[in-house]
Amino acid sequence: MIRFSNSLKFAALSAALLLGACTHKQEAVNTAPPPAPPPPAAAPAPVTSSILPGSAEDFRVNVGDTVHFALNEYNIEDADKALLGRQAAWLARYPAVRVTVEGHADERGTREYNLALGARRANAVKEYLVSQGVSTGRVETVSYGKERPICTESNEGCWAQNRRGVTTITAGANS
Amino acid sequence: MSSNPSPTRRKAAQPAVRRASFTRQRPTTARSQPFGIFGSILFHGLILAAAFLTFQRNLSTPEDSHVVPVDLVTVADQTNVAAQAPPTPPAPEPEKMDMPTPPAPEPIQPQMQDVEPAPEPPVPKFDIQKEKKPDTDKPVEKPQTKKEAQQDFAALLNKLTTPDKAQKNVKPGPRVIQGVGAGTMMTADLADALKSQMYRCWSPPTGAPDARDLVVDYDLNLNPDGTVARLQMTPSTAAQAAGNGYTRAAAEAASRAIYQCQPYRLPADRYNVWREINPLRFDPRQMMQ
Amino acid sequence: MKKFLVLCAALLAFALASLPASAALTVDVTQGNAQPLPIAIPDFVPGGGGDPAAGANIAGVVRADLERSGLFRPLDPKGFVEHVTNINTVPNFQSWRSITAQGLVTGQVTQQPDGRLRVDFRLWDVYGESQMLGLQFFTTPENWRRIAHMVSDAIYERITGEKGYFDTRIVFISETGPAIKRVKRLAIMDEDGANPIFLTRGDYMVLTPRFNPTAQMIAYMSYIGAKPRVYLFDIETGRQEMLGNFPNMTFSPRFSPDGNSVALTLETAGNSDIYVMDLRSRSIRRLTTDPAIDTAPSFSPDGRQIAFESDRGGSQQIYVMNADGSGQHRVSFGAGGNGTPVWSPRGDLLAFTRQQGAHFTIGVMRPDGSGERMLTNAYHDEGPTWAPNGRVLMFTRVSPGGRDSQVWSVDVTGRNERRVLTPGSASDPAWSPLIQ
Repeated sequence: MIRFSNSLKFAALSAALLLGACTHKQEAVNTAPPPAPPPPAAAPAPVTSSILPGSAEDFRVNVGDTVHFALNEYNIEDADKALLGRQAAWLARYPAVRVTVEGHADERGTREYNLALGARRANAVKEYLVSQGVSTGRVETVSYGKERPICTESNEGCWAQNRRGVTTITAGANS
Repeated sequence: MSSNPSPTRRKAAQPAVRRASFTRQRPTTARSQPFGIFGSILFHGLILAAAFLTFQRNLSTPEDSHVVPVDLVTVADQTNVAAQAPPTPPAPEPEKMDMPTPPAPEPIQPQMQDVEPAPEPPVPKFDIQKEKKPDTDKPVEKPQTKKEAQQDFAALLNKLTTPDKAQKNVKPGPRVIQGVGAGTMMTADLADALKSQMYRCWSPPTGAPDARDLVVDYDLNLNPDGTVARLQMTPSTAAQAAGNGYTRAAAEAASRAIYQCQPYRLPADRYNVWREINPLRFDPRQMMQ
Repeated sequence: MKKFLVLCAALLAFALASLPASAALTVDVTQGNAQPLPIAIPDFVPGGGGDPAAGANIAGVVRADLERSGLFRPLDPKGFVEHVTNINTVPNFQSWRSITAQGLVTGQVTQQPDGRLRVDFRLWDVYGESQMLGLQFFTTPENWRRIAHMVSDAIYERITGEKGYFDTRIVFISETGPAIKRVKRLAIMDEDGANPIFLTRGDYMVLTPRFNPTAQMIAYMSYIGAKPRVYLFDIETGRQEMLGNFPNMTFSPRFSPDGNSVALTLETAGNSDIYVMDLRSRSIRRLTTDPAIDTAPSFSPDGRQIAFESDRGGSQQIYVMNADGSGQHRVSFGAGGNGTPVWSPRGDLLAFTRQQGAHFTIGVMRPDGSGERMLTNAYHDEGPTWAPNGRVLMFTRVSPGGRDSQVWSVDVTGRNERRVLTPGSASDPAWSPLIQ
């Protein structure tokens, strides 16, 4: 129930590595599934043909799952509002889908502070989605602080990628 | 909903062999009562680890785990095994002191020579040295051996003290020697001479919450040859040391320094001035910032 | 009249000044040569029975313990002149002085008829030519490491005047795998790195473990079920238990000095505040209400105050409040941002993490913010924890980009910085109290 099968984990990790180190499209690698998800959701099936509408992949590739933040900030930047608007619209189209917003921070903060900062960011994304009509009950938040970087260089370009909010689908997607 | 992991019991699955092997690594112990409890804790921890290594996710251990009967007892603060000979009193004879003779009291430090008003390189010897043992010249002749240590010390000192204090500390060596040669040494310079010979041996205690606990006073009587004739804490220090572990440790550190650095080279013609030093105070507060 | 007094004073001064010929000289030694104490620790003498290597093993651990402290310099046994064969006779002090030893430890290990190990040892003052300490322990042969640590603690305390910390344990986070997919497991080991044990498997991330005052219980944060919450881990029973039933993330736990409550941070709608939960009644009390990030609480040893960090003033800074939440005031006014305050077990200092840009260092300050001293200077040091004697700190040292983490230690004076041996990468150390 809690556990991914090893092969699934491996597949997810491989996919992430193949897709390139520092693009911000492939999250979901680390997101644990919801407490008790009957269907094995969010597990990328072997990519063969076209993207299935309403699937997690559809959401990631065609909508976009990640927004970014300035250092120590958690306000939604204007550039990201359109993306979150598209997320809200997609969620309206697939009302069975439930999501968790992950908040992340760069390495420049203590562990505790970054957990709190990640929570602020995740919550900011959630609030924006709710303001765009998504039911609050469909959106959960989780903070990973600085524990799940996607880029491990010590420079601003890398830090900027790590300061992010990622909307991940936890249930109800087509597969 | 499984976020609260109610642990599954796996009693039957605890193999005796594993338990035994872990017991060897981290045995249960029992000293006084709390010790026994901890020992038991450790043992359970091991069992737990074994469970983790073995099973997917169960977090509990059997209640009936075998605690190896052990106990660890401190019998007494003082061993009941008596020393066969009574410890000799802490007054080592000078003849015994064949530990490395400290180099002459002049710390030769190039960078500090500039500070000296007129450092005359030829170092006059003390009368005592000549009379006592002719070979005490040796350390003077091979200062290189101590040079690195001296520099290390200087670095440490600079780190630990305010600049003027460091200067003050380094100065006395050369100055004292000049004074002796000229026969003009003042009492204050006698004190400096002693200090300059003691500080090498004094590793002051640091880190006590209250630095005042580390200040100790001694009454030191010296023989004419510069060896320790009698050493005792002043009554106030002795009283404080009796009830304060920090003070006791500080007093012992000072005592080690006094013995280790003897004999002290001081002008024989002023013996009446330096035969007793009281109080001889060791105060590490400046070194602790 | 005034003139008369001045004259009298002058005469008196003159009289005193002419006295020294008969009075004692006064000397005030204020500078020393801070060096580790040279100490000789020959292998303990076999007293009969049991493992013939036990004496060497114990002495080896004692030497390593004392050396690690930075306050002792155990001398190389190869240079010893006297071969100790009987610990019940007074040593030949002169031979130990000749190799510059100031302290001497002699010991003996005997296997008793009942199978137990008996360890005697004596600590000698080589210059004072006297016995400073003599102790005797009984235990099972498997326990020899703990005996060695207890011997080290006894020597440390006798020489320095403060309690030792060698018979303690460290709980920490063991890290494996690349930074983008780091596996973190709860682990525990002896203070010297021996006997490392994993307490969790690594299926879910765990962070910030802390011991309770009896070292029986660990509070830590776990992502089990993708729900980050504070958990309690009972080392004795192996039971794990989510602490409380909070609707959102709880993190940064810390036990009170009496062990009866846990301070932690609860996040609600993005805002983090500090709460205290009573472990017996499970009642919860909210201590901070600021819309800023308030986290990283740490009790004073008397339990009356709590230090924490907050960015309510615009940047992360250290604050102190009473244990009921009243009297919140900022104490850190140094450079940069300052966080993760941890109260010394002695109560005299707060250890903290300073952030200046991407540069993180460990410092200490008095609880009122004065006397600030920075102890380390690397790329990224954070999360200090105190040895139970308040004399040494451990912390996490992270390489740039978070690619590797190691545990390091440093003396409260800033000296003796060194890496703590852990199996693989490690972070978030927490030092146990002395095991009594």
